[in-house]
Amino acid sequence: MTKRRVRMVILCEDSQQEAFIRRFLKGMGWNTRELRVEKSPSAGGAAEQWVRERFPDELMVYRQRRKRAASALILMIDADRKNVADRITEIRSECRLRQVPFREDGEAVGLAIPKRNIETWIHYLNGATVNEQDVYPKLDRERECRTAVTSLVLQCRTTGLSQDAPPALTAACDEYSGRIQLVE
Amino acid sequence: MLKRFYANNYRCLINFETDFDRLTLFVGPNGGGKSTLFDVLFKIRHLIVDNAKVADVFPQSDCTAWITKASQSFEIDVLGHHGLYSYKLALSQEQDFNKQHVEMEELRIDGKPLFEFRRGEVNLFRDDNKAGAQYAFDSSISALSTIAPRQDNTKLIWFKNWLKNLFILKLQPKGMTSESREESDWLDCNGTNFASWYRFISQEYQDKIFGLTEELRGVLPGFHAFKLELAGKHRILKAGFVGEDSSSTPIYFDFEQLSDGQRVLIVLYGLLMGLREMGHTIFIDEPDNYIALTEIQPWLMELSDACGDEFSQVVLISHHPELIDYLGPECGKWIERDPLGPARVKKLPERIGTGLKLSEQIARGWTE
Repeated sequence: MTKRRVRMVILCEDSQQEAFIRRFLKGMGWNTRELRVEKSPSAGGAAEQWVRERFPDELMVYRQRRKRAASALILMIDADRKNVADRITEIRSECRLRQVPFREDGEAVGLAIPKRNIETWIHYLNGATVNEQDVYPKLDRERECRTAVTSLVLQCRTTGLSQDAPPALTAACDEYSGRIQLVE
Repeated sequence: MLKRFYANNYRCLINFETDFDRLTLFVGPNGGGKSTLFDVLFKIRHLIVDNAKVADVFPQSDCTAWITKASQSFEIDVLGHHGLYSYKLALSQEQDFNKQHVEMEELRIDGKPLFEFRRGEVNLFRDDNKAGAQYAFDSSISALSTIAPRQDNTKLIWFKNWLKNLFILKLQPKGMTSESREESDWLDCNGTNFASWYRFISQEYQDKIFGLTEELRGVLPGFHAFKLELAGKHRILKAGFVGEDSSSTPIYFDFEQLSDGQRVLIVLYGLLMGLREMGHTIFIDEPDNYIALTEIQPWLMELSDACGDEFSQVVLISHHPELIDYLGPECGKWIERDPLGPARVKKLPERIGTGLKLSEQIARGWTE
């Protein structure tokens, strides 16, 4: 075993998102030691803004780094009242503002945008019927998402997501299989 | 799980009270009282678990310098399997006696008595809280420390075992030796007896050693395995390393020949793997000391994933930006005090702006 070198940077809003995505990546075969988590220093709406503003910097760093070694970047940000496409437009605008070209085909840069938020996915994966408009209760402890993540990993590794999965979750899984999994 | 701790007249802890979560990170300026909190918990454990004398554990010099009160008091609330345990201890520091002693000691569960020790008289209560034996006792030690397990005092014994299972650590790699004279089920506060604790785990929980070995192969470049080599009546803990070609024959080094950082990493991962599902509460003062920047977040990730499931509770102290930024916003508590004033636990400093990391805000002293 060689010394630690991070291959994946995760930009996210809070510990719940981190717990979810990190466990998912672990389930998909990533080693925790290959991951670097950068989460927002503040909570609430400020967190969404922080992730969005930080993204162009990390995208530039990703492009520099991938010249030397296979790397990946994942951004997770709740859609909240907006839809997924609107959030992507905002991220794209942030890149334009900073004069950083948005991600291109073939770049291992994934956007995971839970709608309405990460709890929607967790409750769905735990077997509840959900929609993307309602707000679902937060978990008492972040790591309680473990069962939901295990279910997601199982589906991704076998049959794929079912037809009734929230569209934003399906889109995020497509991002993973289309952009990130190739890095593995 | 430790819910609340109160101390009065112990160094800078005056009417000091704090609560705890599953994972708690104490941050704050030097001299604020963070390590003092760990020290006093260590001493209470020592008094009760090791049957130590009050005068040896709580000398008068530990009383707050600027107040003249002649007694010290401590309270511990622990949420356990049977309910909320409340332990109270009052120590007399009367100079006339020239000897410190227990003024009062009691243990209750959900407000009902399990044990009382006042004015040299012990009153025991059974698990159903009905009165049991009464007897006179020497107040120079904790009476609770001497009570042996019986069929009708399982709740009281649960609390004693909880205290026994407190690991309160401030790791000092320079003092960690390779030699083990005998197995130890407890790691001392500086981690100096790691070889003996490792020996205990390897005897009793071999599966944990397999897990630790696998983990360390990912953490320490070239790490192969440990072995406990016989040396007369003792054993020597050795760590084997291989070169780039992992099929080469490992070369074994005495544990104390490893670098400070390697030893601390081994202990930190040893705690993670060795104490899983054992019901321990772990306190670590500055776990980030000595270890490389790249190694802090991976260990924190493993720790926070395990906390509350495999570990019942973890309490940390740190000044390191990695810990502060990773755990602080959700698990952080701020301890500070004025000169010659009492230590106080406060909310974390109110956040400024959206982009400034908590560690950076603290580094700038913008904590008012």
